[in-house]
Amino acid sequence: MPSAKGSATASARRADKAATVVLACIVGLICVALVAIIVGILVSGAGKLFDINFLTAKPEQFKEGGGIGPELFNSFYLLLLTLLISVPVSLGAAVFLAEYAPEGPVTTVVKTVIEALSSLPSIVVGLFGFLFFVLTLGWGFSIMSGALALTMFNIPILVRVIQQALEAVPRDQRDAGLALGLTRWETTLHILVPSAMPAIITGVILSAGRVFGEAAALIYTAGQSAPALDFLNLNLLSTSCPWNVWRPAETLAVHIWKINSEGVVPDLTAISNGTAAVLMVCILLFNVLARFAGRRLARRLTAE
Amino acid sequence: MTQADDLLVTHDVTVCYGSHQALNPTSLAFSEGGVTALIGPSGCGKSTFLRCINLMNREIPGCRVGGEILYHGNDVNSRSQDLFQLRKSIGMVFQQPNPFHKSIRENIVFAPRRHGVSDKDELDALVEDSLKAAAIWDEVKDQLDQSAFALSGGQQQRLCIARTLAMRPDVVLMDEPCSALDPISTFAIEQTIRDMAERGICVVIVTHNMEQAARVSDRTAYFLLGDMVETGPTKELFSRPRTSGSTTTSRGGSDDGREQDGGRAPRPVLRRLPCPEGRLARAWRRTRVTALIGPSGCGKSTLLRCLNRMNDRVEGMPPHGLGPARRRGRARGL
Repeated sequence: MPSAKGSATASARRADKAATVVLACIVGLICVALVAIIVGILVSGAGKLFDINFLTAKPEQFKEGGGIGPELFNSFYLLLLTLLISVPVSLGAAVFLAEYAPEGPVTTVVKTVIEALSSLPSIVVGLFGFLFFVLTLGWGFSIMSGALALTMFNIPILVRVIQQALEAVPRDQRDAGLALGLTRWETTLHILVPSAMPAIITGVILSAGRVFGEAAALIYTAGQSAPALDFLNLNLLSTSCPWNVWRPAETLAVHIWKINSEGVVPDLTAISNGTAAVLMVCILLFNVLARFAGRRLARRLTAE
Repeated sequence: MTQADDLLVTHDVTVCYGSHQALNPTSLAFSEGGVTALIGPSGCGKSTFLRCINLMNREIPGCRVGGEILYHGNDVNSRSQDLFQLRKSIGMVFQQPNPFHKSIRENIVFAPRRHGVSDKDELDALVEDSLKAAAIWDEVKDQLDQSAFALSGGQQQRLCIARTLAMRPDVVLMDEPCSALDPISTFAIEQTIRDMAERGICVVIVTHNMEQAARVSDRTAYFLLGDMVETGPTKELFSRPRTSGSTTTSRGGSDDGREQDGGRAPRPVLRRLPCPEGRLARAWRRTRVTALIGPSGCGKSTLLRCLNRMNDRVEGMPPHGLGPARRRGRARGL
């Protein structure tokens, strides 16, 4: 042990202890608040959570007993489409920014723009989507309009996360690839991306959670109506075909907003609470599953 | 000094980082099967020079290379020279072991496969040959599909050498390959360097260890402040140096941390090491230098980290104290 126990050391030690206590308190407070919110949502919606009829039936307009079947499906379908579009695009942009773009004023401006876009209010994205996809392109309220609006909302965050993940891969991994006579593309694709994969997966999950629970960007793009779905209908142009991307599609989050703002069904509080609980459980499950899959994938890619 | 059989010749190579000239005109020639050591204090330009040869300096923004580097008589900087083919035949081993986040086998076969080798038997043979050439085959032959990161630092570096050898290079550039390694791994790598030279590979090794240069190299070039001040056969350079710099520097490598035990016995500063079975008990005294040596993975760093309790922060390491009066604990790997 150090023999000198001067006053400086003692005060530093006190500060260390104090910091530990303060940090623990902050984390404790945050945890309590978050757990309270989650438990509150789950408890108030618990009645509906295990009600198969609620989970599969279509919503009622005027009488009680409606379900959220189409909304549940729409939420997942929109999330899937959004990720299918936004992940490859973001990956490309992030790889370019992290590996190819020369340092210079243009790159700096691009990076700043992406940071600014990532804090763009989602209602602005929604209204832009309404003006451009719904009206100018004439796609109407449709899953495609919604997915593209969500993509715009998602890309800046994904680009930043993936770029940071790539930049966190040590320089010597790049050098190793290049020194073996591999091209920059081979080095990026086969060495850097697999190394950065765990961080990329985490980023995609976090952004997916945001997309899944997003309402404002969808109200004016994917619409507020959920046509009844017939899973046996494979005619991609029919409104009742679940896979048709040109039909309007209300999601869980939009449903909560809508039923609370203009719902007239007698059991609207119960439906709203139930929907919130389902949304919550979906996001939790999704997180756990995706994290698990990410770890498996990382292990397979890196043999660790 | 340029001869017809020289594989690699540099004429007045200069390097600038922005406006700073890191390397003044340097002319050297390297022949097949020869080992050349580039020595000198840090910042003298030896690594910079090395990285010119396989054009790795191109990856550094603002770096400009002047002069001429002839490989098989062709200028490496000419447009007709295929960069990727060049780097394939001029391999490089870095200061820090940098295996890929892949299995041991994948580390070897990954690049050859990208260069068009697809036959499975051929790849398997390549793995065995390269690992044998880097003197690591016996240690890893049963765990080829495990992560390269499970290996110790010395093993990782030998894997990196094997990975380079799998490309069947003419020239291997080594940038202080042993500076992060223990003496036994260093010895193994020096052995490998001599084997490589015997098989006709031209090795250029940057080292700050004079003894290493004396042990492995045929020729030595001494760099100082961006100038290549002296070059010649290693034996001559070390016995009859022309510049004062090389003698001054060569004294640096001789002290290997001997224990200096005086007549009086100083009071131990650290007494008993925590360890479950009490197998390792050492006393450290004032005015005494103790060297912990041994192959990689033997626990010397672990032991060192126990002394100032840095292991407290390592996951899975139970807290422990030092000295007989303090808490007893355990240290992993002792």
